[in-house]
Parts: sequence; structure tokens; C-alpha cells
Amino acid sequence: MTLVSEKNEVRPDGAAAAPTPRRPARKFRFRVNLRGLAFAVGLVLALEALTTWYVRSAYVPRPSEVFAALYAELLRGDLIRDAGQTLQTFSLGLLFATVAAIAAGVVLGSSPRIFSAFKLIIEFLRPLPSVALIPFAILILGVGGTTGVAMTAYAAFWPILFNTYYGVRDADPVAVDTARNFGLSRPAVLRRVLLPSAATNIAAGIRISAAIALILAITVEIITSSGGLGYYIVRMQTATRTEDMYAGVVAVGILGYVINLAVAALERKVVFWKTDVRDGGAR
Amino acid sequence: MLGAATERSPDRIGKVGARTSPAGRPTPVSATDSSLVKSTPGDRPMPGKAVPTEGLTSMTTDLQQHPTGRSSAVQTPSGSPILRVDELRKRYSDDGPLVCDGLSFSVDQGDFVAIVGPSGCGKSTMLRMICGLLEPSAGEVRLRDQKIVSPPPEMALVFQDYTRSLYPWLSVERNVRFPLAKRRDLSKEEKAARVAEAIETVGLTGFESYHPGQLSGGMQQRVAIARALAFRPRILLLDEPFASVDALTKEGLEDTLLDVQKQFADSGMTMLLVTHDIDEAIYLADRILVLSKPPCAVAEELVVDLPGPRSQVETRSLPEFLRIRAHIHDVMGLSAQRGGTRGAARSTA
Ligand SMILES: Nc1ncnc2c1ncn2[C@@H]1O[C@H](COP(=O)(O)OP(=O)(O)OP(=O)(O)O)[C@@H](O)[C@H]1O
Ligand SMILES: [Mg+2]
Repeated sequence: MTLVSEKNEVRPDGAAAAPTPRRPARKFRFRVNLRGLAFAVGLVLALEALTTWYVRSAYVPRPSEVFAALYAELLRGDLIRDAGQTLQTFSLGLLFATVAAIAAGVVLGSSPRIFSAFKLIIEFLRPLPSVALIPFAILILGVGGTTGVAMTAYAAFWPILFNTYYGVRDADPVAVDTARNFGLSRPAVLRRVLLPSAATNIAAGIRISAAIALILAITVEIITSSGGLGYYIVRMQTATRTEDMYAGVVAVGILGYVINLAVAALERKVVFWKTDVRDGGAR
Repeated sequence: MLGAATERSPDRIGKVGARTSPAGRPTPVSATDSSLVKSTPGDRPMPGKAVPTEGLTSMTTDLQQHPTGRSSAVQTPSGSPILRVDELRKRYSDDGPLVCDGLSFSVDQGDFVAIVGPSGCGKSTMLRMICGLLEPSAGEVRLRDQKIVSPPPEMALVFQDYTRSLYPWLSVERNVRFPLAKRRDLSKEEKAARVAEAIETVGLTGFESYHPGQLSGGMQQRVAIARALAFRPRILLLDEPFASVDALTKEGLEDTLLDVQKQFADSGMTMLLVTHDIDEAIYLADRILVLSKPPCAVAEELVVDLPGPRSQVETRSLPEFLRIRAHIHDVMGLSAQRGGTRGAARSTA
């Protein structure tokens, strides 16, 4: 079989010069963005200078005070507990949304007939800002954690749904035909070809939805005063503990940043065969 | 014209009525015999009874040593062809142009049929209709007298668009195993063995864990071929399978195809190969269908009566080989001038 093989693949003795098998590089390399970091530190220092010498207001604390408050609150444990609650609402909501949206998106994407049946209602619900439904959700589900999870899931549902739908609908017909040619049934084609084909889109959808889910989780907490970082911020505001309020805001920022990093890392891991992950349409 | 060609080489190029009876198969001994031996209608091929074949090296075996060689491996002359393409017509849209216009031919079990024709004439379209992926606008394809309406399990197509046909999220090994996943009749070990064998056949051993995106075009194309081989279809349709590999690898793969065909149980794998390479068609095939300019129809059907077993160097330098090649060039040039009007037997005199 040497004829078929390329020179560098097969040694004269016929033994394969085993090339080191490897998956595409998907190691998460953490590169420190020095320029960005320097600018951020400079900005904080400038703010510090500004609030120290020019703007003296009880409502605008110095960054150093905010960080000191953040540190103290973290030590006390309140902030940690609230962040945990927010993270829980966020994760549950995003999880439900992901499962439901992928399932629905695959079904809609694989059948134009089903899609046309749902089209109108989807097009009505999609532009409706999710926050407008919070009062309604409170009426139905009360002010407990359920409302937070339900609203988070609802808002996070749409970007994943649409990305899955387009991913499945735009799957390469040759890839689908190949599977049909090998005798795969419709459900098998769905699972083994359409779903992986849409993986890139689905991952992009999840990334968008993660940001939206955090917004909804915090918003519901602020409105329903049901704990979590949102409620923490409101509490500190009403108590005029301005530094602590800003500490809560910074904590939300950090949480969002970490979530984004985690989702991006997951995306690279799942969609390892694509280096350029496209952006889905944000809402 | 056709008559003239037949006169020039009456013993080499047998013209078979394009839309008459199924083509007879030349027997191996008829290499110098002018008569086309029509297979006598008889009992059906006996499934399950494998023809003893040797390993990949057996292709050097002479016909004398190996009396049940290539063509005579047909245990029972098949009375009815395994595949019958009948007046296929295709329009992609109602107001679109006609792509295929009355394609008709038939293929016997174990036949190696090559299909040549100008680019864009509808060869890929034809293959997709044959394997049940595309519905013809008119006409039908019959597999053992059963009309094909969906992809039959004993047929596989190697797509021309191999890049899009491979699954980028699967490794080479998993791509090749893809068609076997749902096969309950095969054990895990059997599947693994088949996959390993197919990968080795195309010379990709060692690259099992690579992903298609990490392979060159020619390597990807070989993965697609390996996948079809692992599937072991009774009928293998190949659409330009060697377009992206170098000349030497191509020759190796061509011989691999001949081996694979011969080794297949019963009367051999039936092969339909679409190619742009006329030499390749002559080298590999028992019969060549020359398609006309679009909308395509069978412009001519040739029996390639070259002695077997074929060898890359000798076979290609045989005078018959060169004569057939010149003839096909003639026919293709003519069918291009005819501008799509079909009619296999039309004379230009
Ligand atoms: N999906 C499609 N929709 C509409 N028209 C198509 C489609 N696929 C092919 N065609 C048309 O059918 C004709 C034949 O295409 P086909 O791919 O079958 O040609 P081919 O003989 O395989 O060409 P090549 O040798 O270049 O591969 C072309 O004119 C092409 O435009
Ligand atoms: Mg083609």
C-alpha cells in the first residue's frame, strides 16, 4: 500500500511514521492584556484623584473607599452569600433556557412547516422586552426565587433559540445528504449531523444569553427584593451606605466578567474545530 | 462517425446501443475476440457465497492462475441488471433549465462503469438521483426492479464536495466509522477492524485522531473514500473521487478500487465512477458512458475491452487504450458541437 501513501507518512519498511495525533489547539491561554490593564489602573487612579480633590460628595465615594468596602464586605460574608444566590438564579435560568431553546431550535430548524406554524407567535414575543413581563411573573409566581429563574430563563431563551434555528436550518446540505446516503433516519440525522453543525451558532447564542441572563437575574432581584446582589445594592442604597452600594456594583461587574470568561472557554472547548466563532445576532 | 470508429477498431471498441438492451460484459478471454458476449439470462446471483479472493496482492495474479478473475467472478450471469436508469429527466425548478434529458442505461452486478462528460453537464445530479437523494422530474431508477425513492442501504456515494461531506467535529477515525454506528449486526471489534482496514487502504494510518480541518485536501478526499469503503456498499458511486490527489497517489487509489471491487463478496462491488479524467475512465472501467453537453443524455456507451489484470504502466500504453482515448475525445468533441442535441447513434457524416 506504499503507493497510496505519501512519502513522509510511510517509511521504506512500511511502518507508519506515526505522526503525533493531536486535537486542534484548544488550550486556554491566559494572556494578560498589559495595555488594557495599564489603562484601567490609570483610569481608577484618575478617578481617585478627581474624587479626592474636586468632587466631594457623599454619593461619589473614592475608588479606594469602594475597594476597602468591598474587601470588608467580602470578609463579612454577606456579599459572598448574595453573589452565590445571584449566580444560582443565573445558572438555573441559563440552563433551563439552553435545554429548552436547543430542543425547540432543532425542531423548528429541521422543519419549515413547524417553523411557519410558530413564526407569528415567535415574532410577537421576541421584540417584547423581557423586563416588561416581570410584574406579570410576580403575579403568577410570587416574589420568591422562582420568578428570578423563570424570567432569566425566558430572556435567555430567545438568542439560543434563534441561533440554534439558523444553525440547523443552514446546516450544509451535503453533510446532511451524506448521512441520508448512509441510511441514517431523520432523528439520527438530527442528532448526529444537524445538532453538531449548529454547535457554533448555539455556543454564540449561549454567550449572548449569558449576558442577558445576568441582567435579568439582577433586575428581578432589585424589583422583588428577594436577595442576591441586586437586592444587596438596593439595601445599601436605602441605608445610604454608598461605598457598600458601589462595592455591590463592582461585585456584579466582576461576576459578569468571570461568567463571560467561563462561557468563552466553554465555547472554545465545545466548538474546538472552528477557530472563528461567529457572533450571533444579539437582541 | 461511430461507425467509422468501430470500423477502425472493430475488436477494441464495441458500441452498445445506448438505450437498447443492457450491455453485455466482455469475458476476460475476449480480449482479442471481437464478439461481445451477452450474458445469458439465468439464475439469480447466489448471495452469501463468497468468491475466494486473495489479498490485495492478488491483483498481480494472472487470469490463468486465477480463473475466477475479475469479470468471470460473476457466478451466475445476471439476467436482469442490478441497476436500471430509465429516461431520467431533471429540472431543479419548474422554470429552470433541463439538466438531465432522458438518461438511460443499465448496470450489471459487478460492473465497473465510468461516466465522463463535460463539466456542468449533470453528472453529479445524475448520481444524486441514482442514489435516491434527489427526486427525478421524470423517469426512474430501479434497483433490482425496485424503484428507488429513498437512499437504499446497499448504495453509497462519495461526494464530489468531499470537504463539505466530512464532519469537521469528528476525527478521521470517527468520520470513517460514522456510517457503521447504527449497524447492530456488527460487533464493536468488527467495526473497529473495518475502519482500520479502510483507513489503511487509503494510506492514512496514523492520522486516525486528526480532524478534517487538519488534513490536506487530498487527505480529506481519501477519508471520504475510506468512509465509503468501510460501509461496504454493494453499489459504490464515486463522484470525482481523486480530483485532489497527486498523480502517484491517484494511481494507487485507482488500483485500490479495482482490488476492492474484486474482493467484494459474490460477484464484486458494482462501481459507478464519474471522472473528468478520460484515461482514468478507460483504465478502470469495463464500460464507459460518455454524456453529452447539458442537458445530459448518454451520447455513447463503450465497452472497454482491455486485457486484465490491468497495470498502470502497461495498460495505459496499449494501442487499444490509446485508440479508445482518441475515440472518446472525438465523441466528446462532437457532442460539444452538437450543443446538447442528443442521439447516441446520430451520424455526422
Ligand atoms: N441544487 C441545484 N439547484 C439548481 N441547479 C443546480 C443544482 N445543482 C446543480 N445544478 C445545475 O445543474 C447543472 C449540472 O450540475 P452538476 O453538478 O450535476 O454538473 P456536473 O456534471 O457534476 O459538473 P462537474 O463535472 O463540474 O462536477 C448545472 O448547470 C448546475 O447549475
Ligand atoms: Mg459534479
